[in-house]
Amino acid sequence: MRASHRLRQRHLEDFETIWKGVLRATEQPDRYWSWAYKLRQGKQEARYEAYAIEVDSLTQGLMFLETQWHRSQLPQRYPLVYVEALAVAPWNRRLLEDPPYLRGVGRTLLLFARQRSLELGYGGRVGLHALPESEEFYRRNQMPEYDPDPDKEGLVYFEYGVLRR
Amino acid sequence: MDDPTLAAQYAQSGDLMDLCNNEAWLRESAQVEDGMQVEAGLPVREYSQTVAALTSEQNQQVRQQMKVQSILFTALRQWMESWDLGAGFDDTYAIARRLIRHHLANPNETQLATIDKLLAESVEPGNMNLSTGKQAVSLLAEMFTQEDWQAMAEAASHSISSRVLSTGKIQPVTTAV
Repeated sequence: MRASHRLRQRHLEDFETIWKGVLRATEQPDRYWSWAYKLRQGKQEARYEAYAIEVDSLTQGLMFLETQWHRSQLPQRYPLVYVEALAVAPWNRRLLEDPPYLRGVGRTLLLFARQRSLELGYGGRVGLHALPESEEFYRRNQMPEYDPDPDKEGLVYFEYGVLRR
Repeated sequence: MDDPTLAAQYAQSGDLMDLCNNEAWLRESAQVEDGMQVEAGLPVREYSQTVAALTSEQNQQVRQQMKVQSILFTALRQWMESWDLGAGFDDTYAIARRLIRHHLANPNETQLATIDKLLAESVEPGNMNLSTGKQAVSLLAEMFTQEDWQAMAEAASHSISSRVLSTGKIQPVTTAV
């Protein structure tokens, strides 16, 4: 499993059709964030990058990064890779009695964010705001935890520092 | 995700993603993610909440759609590799996937029966055997209409011609004197 795909039209279509099939199933209005908009933004502005994990011919995970404007929460304000959004396909989550189709998609995306940080000269620094139900996942991945961020509706901020031996 | 492991990998290959070829890393990833939700960023909050609220039946529906599409798209990709499309492959593949999804919205009885058969075989799309692949390709061949083939041919041709034209714009014309 490799997060090597830059986001392409077919990944967006997977999101718009089968991932969002859950919307139709639950008859919820479509208020989803537009990955298509972000893809266009990514093409127009170099600071944005969008990636997908594709396995068995379908999109298994998506990630959108900002690579120039965000800074570390540390006093030194180091530049870092900021994860604007990270999500896995509905079938890769454990729900009730069903095991995930693939395990490790989220962790692979997170690993890729660190790789991009190294490539960009940020030393592996990565920041993100975890959803409340996902906080434990980032703790398990030894990502240092900061305070809830009032600018992000109270989501807790996590940040990897520089990669050390 | 401990720093010493990552730093060692980076020092060795310059690419952390090479850890994805490491069995121990993969096992650990499966354990760390087991039972966890992973979504990050406000933009995906509603998506995450919706998925978490799926009933067992709705979840089964989504998984079934995923499996059908995964089998058919994998067979499609393998089939299309024999078409020798070169640079036109990706665009043609994208159009073909769209057409398949369109047909899957209203399958006829014969198509439904084949889909049921494919699902009953509990195929792992990544390890599709020859017989299942053939059945899937037969289904696709039956599914595609003349208009579909035309649309795919146009996508292939457009993709290749636009590449040639964009190269012509970018490359300065040099002539031997």
